[in-house]
Amino acid sequence: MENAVIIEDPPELPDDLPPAVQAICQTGDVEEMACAELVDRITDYLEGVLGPEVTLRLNNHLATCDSCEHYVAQLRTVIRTTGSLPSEQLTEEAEDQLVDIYRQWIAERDSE
Amino acid sequence: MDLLALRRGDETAFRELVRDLNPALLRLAVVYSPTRAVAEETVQETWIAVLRGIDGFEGRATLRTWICRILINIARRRAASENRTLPFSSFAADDEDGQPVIPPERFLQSGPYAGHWATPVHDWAEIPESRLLQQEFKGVVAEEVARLPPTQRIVITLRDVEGWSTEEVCELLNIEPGNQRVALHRARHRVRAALERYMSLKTAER
Repeated sequence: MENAVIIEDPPELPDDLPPAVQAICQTGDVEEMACAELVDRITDYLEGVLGPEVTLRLNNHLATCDSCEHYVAQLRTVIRTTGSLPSEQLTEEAEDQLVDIYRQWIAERDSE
Repeated sequence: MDLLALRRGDETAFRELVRDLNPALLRLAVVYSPTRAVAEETVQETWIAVLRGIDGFEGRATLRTWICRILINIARRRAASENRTLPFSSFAADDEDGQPVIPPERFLQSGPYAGHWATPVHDWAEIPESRLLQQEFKGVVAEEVARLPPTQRIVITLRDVEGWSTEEVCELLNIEPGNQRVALHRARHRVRAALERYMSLKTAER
């Protein structure tokens, strides 16, 4: 079979892994990017500071890996929820108290 | 913000500034203070210092960066006089000794798929809305943010709660963008992990 084109087989999973594992990450091309690397780089990715090459590898991984897709969606949920935490406004009394301080400051300054 | 109106004595302008900035000041002050009462005092002291200094404000930083810096200085001075340790005395101290943000056992350790998820990551969107009480969900996030190490807590508060830019956060805290991202990365992951624990409780209730 000297002329046969050599096609690299996808790496085989060890026999002792439960079948479910195979369904988790199906990027097939494990050279592309491992899920753990994606996790490490995800903030840089979301912040837009990854170089074009790594961004491409990461996008390729995301396009085929459900778990990583869910993981990134989870982080976006985290960011959205953190951004929607209620802010604590001053009570009216406390605000009036600050305005009194302001008034006093203006008066003192103008009398100088 | 209309600085001239503020210097002129326009109370409406002052009220607007207070409403706009006080929540962020309080959030910052809480991180630097041993008690809620001390945090509130620090905020009030900050406003007084802002008024004293406003005529000298040159606009090199944004008004809110300048005001937040005043707050941090006051909080530091108080902490120093009470011999308390402070956030940012060492940035690396927050790094949790370089622990990975996701426990290594979540990934396959060997074989051709080493480094890939060992167990699937759940799609939170699949959990029925009715199970997710928005208030409860936010409560989990707020509690976890409050438990973060100080540097992470301040960075996630300014970036994700208050929506500041990287540049402004770095300018205020005088840190490098890279360090800021590390803190943000760790903070977001701890909050994610807390939500993941909450979600698995919720799904177990089915």
